[in-house]
Amino acid sequence: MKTQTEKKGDEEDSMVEHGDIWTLEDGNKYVVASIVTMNDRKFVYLIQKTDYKNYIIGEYLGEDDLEEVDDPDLLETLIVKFNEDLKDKLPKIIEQYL
Amino acid sequence: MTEQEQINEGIRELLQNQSLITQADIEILDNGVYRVKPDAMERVAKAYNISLEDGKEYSLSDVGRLLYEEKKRKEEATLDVSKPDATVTDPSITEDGSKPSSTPVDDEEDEFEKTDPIVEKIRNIVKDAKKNAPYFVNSLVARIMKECGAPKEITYEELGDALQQVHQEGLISQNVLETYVRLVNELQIARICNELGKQYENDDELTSKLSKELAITRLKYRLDMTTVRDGFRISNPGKTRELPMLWLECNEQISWMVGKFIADMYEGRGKYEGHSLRGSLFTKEVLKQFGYLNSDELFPIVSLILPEMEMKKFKAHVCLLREEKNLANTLIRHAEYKDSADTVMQDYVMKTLIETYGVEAVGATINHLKQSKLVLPYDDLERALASMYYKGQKQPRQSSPSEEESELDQDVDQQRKNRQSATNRRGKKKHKITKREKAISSLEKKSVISLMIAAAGCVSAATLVTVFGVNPIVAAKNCVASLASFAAANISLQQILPASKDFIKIVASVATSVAGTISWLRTNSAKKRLEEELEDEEEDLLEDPDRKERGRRR
Repeated sequence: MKTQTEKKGDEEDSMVEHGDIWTLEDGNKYVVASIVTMNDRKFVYLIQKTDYKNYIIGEYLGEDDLEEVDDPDLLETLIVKFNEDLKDKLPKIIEQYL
Repeated sequence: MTEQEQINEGIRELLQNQSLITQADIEILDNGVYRVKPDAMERVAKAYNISLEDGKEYSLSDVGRLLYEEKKRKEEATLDVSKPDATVTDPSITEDGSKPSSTPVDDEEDEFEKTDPIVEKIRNIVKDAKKNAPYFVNSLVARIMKECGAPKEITYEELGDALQQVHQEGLISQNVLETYVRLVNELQIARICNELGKQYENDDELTSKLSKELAITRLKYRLDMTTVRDGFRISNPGKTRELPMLWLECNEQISWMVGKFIADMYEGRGKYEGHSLRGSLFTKEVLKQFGYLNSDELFPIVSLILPEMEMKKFKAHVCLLREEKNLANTLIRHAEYKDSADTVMQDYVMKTLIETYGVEAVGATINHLKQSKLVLPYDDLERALASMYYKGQKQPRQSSPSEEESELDQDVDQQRKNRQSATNRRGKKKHKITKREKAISSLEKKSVISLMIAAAGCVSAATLVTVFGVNPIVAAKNCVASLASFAAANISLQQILPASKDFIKIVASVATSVAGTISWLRTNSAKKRLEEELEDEEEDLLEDPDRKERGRRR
């Protein structure tokens, strides 16, 4: 039987999925391109819908909060992990979407 | 270039050669290893004539090493004539397999044959090396030394005389002679140091006298460890293994003794029992004991003992204490730090220079240097001066600023604001998600996939740029080419790729941005840490009587 915390975690997981479209408070829409979980922390690579030069690498804090990552070592690790995640998940998402 | 650097260079070249290997051929394993797929490995092996082990999986590092070893093998083969098959292709061998007793040579060669056999041997080695040009002078000299049996069968002096003779014949250049002299000097010095080191091998009671004795011996003979090491590395390492080993043994011996003494100083042991030194006092004591070692020798040893930030301050102190009587020299040294891109240390040195000499003296010296023929990054020096000058002006001014100074302050202030703004922009910025949607229509789904593919290209290129230092444009081309693997069976890549003819440029720009942000954040966080450290350090310096004296001189 799952505990309350685990249930909450599952609910939050379902709130972040590849391909989700998020509108941030600046009014811009972003697509959740990649998701990486490390040490119980969830990180996302967002790409702006209208201009894919604009990206955000942030930690999803739950609810509706997102915080940009500013630790250089963590960023370097995340870039590699996002790359792995996209290579792994993208073919499945394409198959699912088309 | 170190072996690892050459291996990395090999990987970079390989990744840039898209006909052999693309991003799609590389798979990242769970343990972070970059595995190269077997079919790509076969292409690489064929192109570079490398043999692969059956069933073995190769990582990118393995490939880099294979390429490096192959390159090294070819270089060795170029100069190696001792192989048995070298005579098989000798055109002078007659049809019946016998070799003519006297190979036809011109008159000049005849004359040489009558000379010293060592001279003749050298002559043959040089001719052979020239036949297989290009060759390294260091390798050639090392080979001559080895094949002539120096110093066991022939002394260095005798070999030197023979080389001199060959040089007079015009067969070898002055450069070869000089290289020989340098190598012999270094070898002899290394032996002397090694002997000295052995004498004290079992002496636990290390004194500054002992370290000084060794260091002075090295200084006396002008031992240049870096040059010797490079010389050995360039020459055939397989054949001259004993030489670098000798060098290493000797160098380690000295480093160990100096290092132990400095560690005692820092940790309050031995002579410094109960008096561990910190900050500028530590630096002064190190220089008092080992000031005759140059920075290239001293810094690596001290860096084993001090934490990273302490090491930065130590370097800056050394620079200042050594050069304090000559501001120009310090500025030149400051410019050298620029090459190492160590902005934290540059700032620290500049800040202390301004405090010690005053901004006018520093500015005037930069101007003076400009008039000289020295090529220095003057813009960077002036920028650092302006930036650090601004920071030094936090306290109330004693006199009202000139108009020029006010303008400078305004400029610097603006720069500071811009930096702060950039920090905020790139820093811990928080966002609120105001709306969440999922793609529903087929058009919207296609658009999402297109964006995700773009993201895959960008992240992949960013990995290559950040981790392997690949050129961003090359990385982008490579990654965009590899996106084809994402095309679904029933849809072409063109239909889902982002519709931009500048796609590669954009991917490259994102990759550069990511790598640049990481680098920028790293420098910025180091600066912040240093600023905190400096506040403690300033208290230290104020207690230093010499420092007060310098202040009075100002």
